[in-house]
Amino acid sequence: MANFLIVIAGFVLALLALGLICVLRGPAKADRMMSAQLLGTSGIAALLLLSAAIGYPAIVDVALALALLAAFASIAFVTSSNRSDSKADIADGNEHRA
Amino acid sequence: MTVSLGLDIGLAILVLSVAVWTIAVREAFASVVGFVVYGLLLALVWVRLWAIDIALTEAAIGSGVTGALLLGAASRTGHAKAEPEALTLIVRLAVAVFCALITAGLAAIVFLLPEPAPTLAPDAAANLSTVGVGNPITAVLLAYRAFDTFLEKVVLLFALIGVWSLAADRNWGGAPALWQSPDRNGPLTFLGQILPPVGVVVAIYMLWTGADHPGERATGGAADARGRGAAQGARARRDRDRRR
Amino acid sequence: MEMSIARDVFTILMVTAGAFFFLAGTIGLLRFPDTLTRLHALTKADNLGLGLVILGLLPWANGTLAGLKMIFIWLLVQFAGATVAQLIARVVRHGETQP
Repeated sequence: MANFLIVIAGFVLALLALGLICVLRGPAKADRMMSAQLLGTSGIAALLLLSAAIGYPAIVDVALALALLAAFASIAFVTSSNRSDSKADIADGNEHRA
Repeated sequence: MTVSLGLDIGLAILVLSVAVWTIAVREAFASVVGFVVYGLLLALVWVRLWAIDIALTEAAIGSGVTGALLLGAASRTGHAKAEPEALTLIVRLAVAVFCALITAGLAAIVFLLPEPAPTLAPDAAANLSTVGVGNPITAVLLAYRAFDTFLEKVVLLFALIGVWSLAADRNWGGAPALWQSPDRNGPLTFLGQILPPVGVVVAIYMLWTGADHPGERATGGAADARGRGAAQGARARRDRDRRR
Repeated sequence: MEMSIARDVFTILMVTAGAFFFLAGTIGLLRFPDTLTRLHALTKADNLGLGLVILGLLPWANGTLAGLKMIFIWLLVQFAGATVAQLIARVVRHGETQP
């Protein structure tokens, strides 16, 4: 059973590698933003499988941190893209503050 | 155990490929995305090396907080694609040799450590009962070197106050405020309302379990900070909406 | 004895189904022509795969709290993934309407 779970974890990581090749190559910014999402789900699956295979429950905490941080990374990607796309709004905001 | 060996080799190749891609790509935003991906993959590597606390720190700070900082820097430098001024071949070779020397030096330090390596770990572990926690890393961070942990927060706070007081507004972009057009019912506002409480609960949980199991006050702090950042973005958006 | 065999069969079935959905999501990521369709494949198929994997691993959890933690992780990923997909789709649409 432990070997089976590790094989599936390796399979998920191989799929992650394939997905990363496709997502990181995408010419638009939106394609690359999806990489955080991809990493989130695949990485969490691999970590949970490893945790059950090795029998070390603390790895689930790493999966929890990964879930939160993949979400935050995706938000950071989106807001930075919005920020650099709307420079006019920035000038407007400076006028408000001044 | 050839199955886990194959897993480790595959993971190592993946991490190296992402690192090479991060350096080779020509846009600032793309390389920051590559850096965040690299950081999260490195967290997996740390788990395979049985260093759970370091994995948590890497995920939170190495890719989360540092990624956000780099994204801010990349977006402030505008849409400039990374076309450097023409570096001569001599300069490139010199940089390559320098980097190779640093790598070789680090590798030598790691491989030439005396056996057993000089360490205070046995002393730290021996006094855990007096400190009252079960995790030696937490004991170091929150008990043996408590002044260090406490004072680094104070130093950061002073640095922040210094920048707020002394830097001209145009040089640093002002206090965290909104950037995009207000959208009261948008998904970003929704996330900004839901994720911070989750972040706070997870942060407290990480700090709590860190007493006896691998947990990490740095992860807790980072999750808390990111949650507050999202909340601040949503709140600033709401305020500006009212002002209009 | 039957309980442990049943548990093993359940885990193998669920985890294999989850891995199949991960495979479907990655194939979609590779073969779909457009950013939006690829986003669709990524968020829906991969999240379902993760849910099935977690379901298969629940019998091996270290007590009720650990099992609840894994379910909470899945709920968080579902929730954040759905909302982030909306955000990324807006970026795509915003990019298309900009000159």
